[in-house]
Amino acid sequence: MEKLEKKQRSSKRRSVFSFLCFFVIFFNLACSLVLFPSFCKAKEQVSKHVYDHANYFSDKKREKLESLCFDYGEQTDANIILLIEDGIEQGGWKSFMEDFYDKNDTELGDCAMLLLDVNEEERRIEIQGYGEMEYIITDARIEDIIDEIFDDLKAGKYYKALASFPVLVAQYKDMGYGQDARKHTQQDNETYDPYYYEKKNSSIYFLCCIPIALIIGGIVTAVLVIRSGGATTTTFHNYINENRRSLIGRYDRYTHTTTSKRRKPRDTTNHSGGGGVSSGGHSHSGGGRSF
Amino acid sequence: MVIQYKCPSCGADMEFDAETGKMKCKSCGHAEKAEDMVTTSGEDPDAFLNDYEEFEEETSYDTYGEDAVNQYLCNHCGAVIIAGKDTAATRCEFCGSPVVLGDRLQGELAPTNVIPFKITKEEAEEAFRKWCRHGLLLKSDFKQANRIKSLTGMYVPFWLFDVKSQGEVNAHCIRQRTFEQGDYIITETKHYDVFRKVDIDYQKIPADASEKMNDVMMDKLEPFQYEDMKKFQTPYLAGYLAEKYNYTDKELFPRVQQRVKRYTESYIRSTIIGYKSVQFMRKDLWEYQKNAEYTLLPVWMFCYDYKQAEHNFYMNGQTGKIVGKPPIDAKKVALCFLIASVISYGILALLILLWINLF
Repeated sequence: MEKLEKKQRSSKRRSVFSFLCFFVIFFNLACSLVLFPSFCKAKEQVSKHVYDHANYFSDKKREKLESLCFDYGEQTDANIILLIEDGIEQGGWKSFMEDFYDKNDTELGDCAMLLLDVNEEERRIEIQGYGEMEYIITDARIEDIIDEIFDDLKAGKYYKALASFPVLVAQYKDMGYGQDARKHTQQDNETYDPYYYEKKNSSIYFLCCIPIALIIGGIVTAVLVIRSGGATTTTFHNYINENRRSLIGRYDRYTHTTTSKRRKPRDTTNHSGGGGVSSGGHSHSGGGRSF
Repeated sequence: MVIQYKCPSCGADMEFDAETGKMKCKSCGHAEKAEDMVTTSGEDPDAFLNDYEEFEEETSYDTYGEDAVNQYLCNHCGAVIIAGKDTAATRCEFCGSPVVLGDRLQGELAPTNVIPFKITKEEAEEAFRKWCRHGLLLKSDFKQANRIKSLTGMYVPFWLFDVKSQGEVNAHCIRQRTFEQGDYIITETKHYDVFRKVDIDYQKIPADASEKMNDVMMDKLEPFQYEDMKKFQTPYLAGYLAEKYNYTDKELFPRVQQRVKRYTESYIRSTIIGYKSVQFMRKDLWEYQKNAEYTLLPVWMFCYDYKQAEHNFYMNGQTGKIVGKPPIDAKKVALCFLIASVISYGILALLILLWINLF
C-alpha cells in the first residue's frame, strides 16, 4: 500500500514540474512578444545605400558614402539613399526616383533619396523624401539643402556634396517637422515643372527691369528737356557765408523702438517643384535643380 | 543830363569794350580805364553825383507823369533822344553814339556796383549759334540759328541782398533694420527726435528789379561771379542799354525771403543724415534783411524770329550761360525716351545675366 502511494506522489510532482517549466517558457515568449513590440517592428537598414550606376566614384569613395548613409540613417531612423546616374532623359528625374522607390518600397519605408545625374549636357540634382521624411525634408528644406551643396556641385566636387547630404538630413530630423510639411497629392504631379526653381528666381528679375528701364529713360529725357532751356544752377552753397558757423545747435535723441513681425510668405504659385505621388501611390516631398 | 565819352586822341565816341575791360575808341583804338574817363564836358562824372543835391535845390524842374518820356539832346549830332522812363543808357538813334542818361543814375537812383560785360557781341552771337546747334531735342530748322532779329547788350538792374536767416526745426526720424528669424521676417524701427538750430548769413542774393525782364529767366542766369564786380561808374555803361530799377529793395524782399526760406530748409535737411525717413514736426524760420545793394548786371538779349513768333533768349554777359525756351521737337523727345529706355533695359538685363552666371 505505501509503495503505491509513494509512486503516485512522485509522478504527480514530475507532471507539475514539467507543467511549470512549459509555463515559464511560454510566459517568456509571450512577454517578449508583448513587452518589446519594437523588437518586432524595429526598422532595419537596407543593405545597399549607394547605387552608382554611372560608375563615377571609386570603390573607396563609395564605401565611405555607404558608411555615412548607414550611420546617419541609424540616427534618423530612416534610409538615406544616393543614386548616381548618367543621362536620364530631360524631365525624367522625378519619375525615375519614384519608380525606384516603388520597386523597393517595403525595404525602404521612411526614406531620404538623392539623385545625381552627372551627364555633361545637363547635370541635375534631385532630392525626395518618403514616409516620415516627407515631413522632415520638406520642399522648402530641400531647396535649402540644394542651396548649401550647390557651389560644390557646380564646381564638380560631387563627393563633398553627396557626403553632406546625410549630415543635413540628420540635422533636419532634429528640428522636427518643417513649416511647410504636408502630404503631396496628384495635383503636385500635374503641376510639376522641373525648372520651377530657376524660373521662380530669375524671371522676376527680368520683369522688374522693365519699369526700372522706363523710369531711367524718363529721367534722362526730362533732364535733357530741362537742360535745353537752361536750368537753375544755384543752391544755398552759392550765397551762404562759409566763413562762419551756420549750425549753432543740434541733438539727435533716441526715443524708442517698434518691432513688427510677419511670416515668410508661402509660395502660392501654381507650380510644383518636385513633390508628388508616385505611380505606386506613395506621396513624397521633392525638389531639384539643373546645373 | 546826357553823358558821352570822347576819345582824347581823335575825338570819336568811346565805348566800353568787354574784351579788354576798358573804354575803347572805335576809330583809333585808344584804350583807357573806366575809372580815368572824363565826360565830354571835361568834368569828372562823379562830381556830378556829389553835386546832385545842390543841383536839385538850384534848379526848378517840372515833374512829369509816371509814363512820360524824357527828351534829351545828343551831344554828338544834336538829334533828339527819346528814352523810355526806365532807360538809363542807350544809343542815339541817328548817329549811333552811345549815351548815358546821368540824371537817371543819380542820388537815390545811383547804382552801388556793376559787373561789366565780359563777353563781346561777336562772342555772344557765336556762342548762341553753337548752343542752338548742339541742342539735342530742338526742332531742326531752329538749330541753324540764322534768324537772330536783334542782339542787345543790356545792364539789368538788380538788388543784391545780404540776408540773415535763423531757424529751428524738430524732426521725427527713423532708422530701420530687417532680418530673418526662423520662419519670420522681423522689421525693427528705431525712432529719434532730431533738433537743429541754424543762424545763416547769405550774401549778395540777386533779385531782378526790372519790371520788363522775366524774373524766372533772370534767376536762371545765375550765378554771377562777384570777383569781377566793380564800384559803379557811368563809363561802364557806354555802348550798352541800361535800365533803372522799378522796384525798391523793400518791395522785392518778400520774394527774396521765400528763396532764403528754401535755401535754409535745404541747408538744414543736409545736416540730417543717416536716417531712412525724416518727418518735420516743427519748422520755425525767420529772415532779416541786413543790406541791399543796387547793382547793374550784364545780360545779352537775343530776339529770335522763328515761325512768325518771337523767342527771347538771355545770356549771362559775364559767364556766358544761356537760358530761354527754344522750340522743342516733340518727336525727338519721344524718340529720346524710347532709346534711353531700351538702352537702360539692355544694360540691366546684361548685368543680371552676368550676375546669374557668376553665382
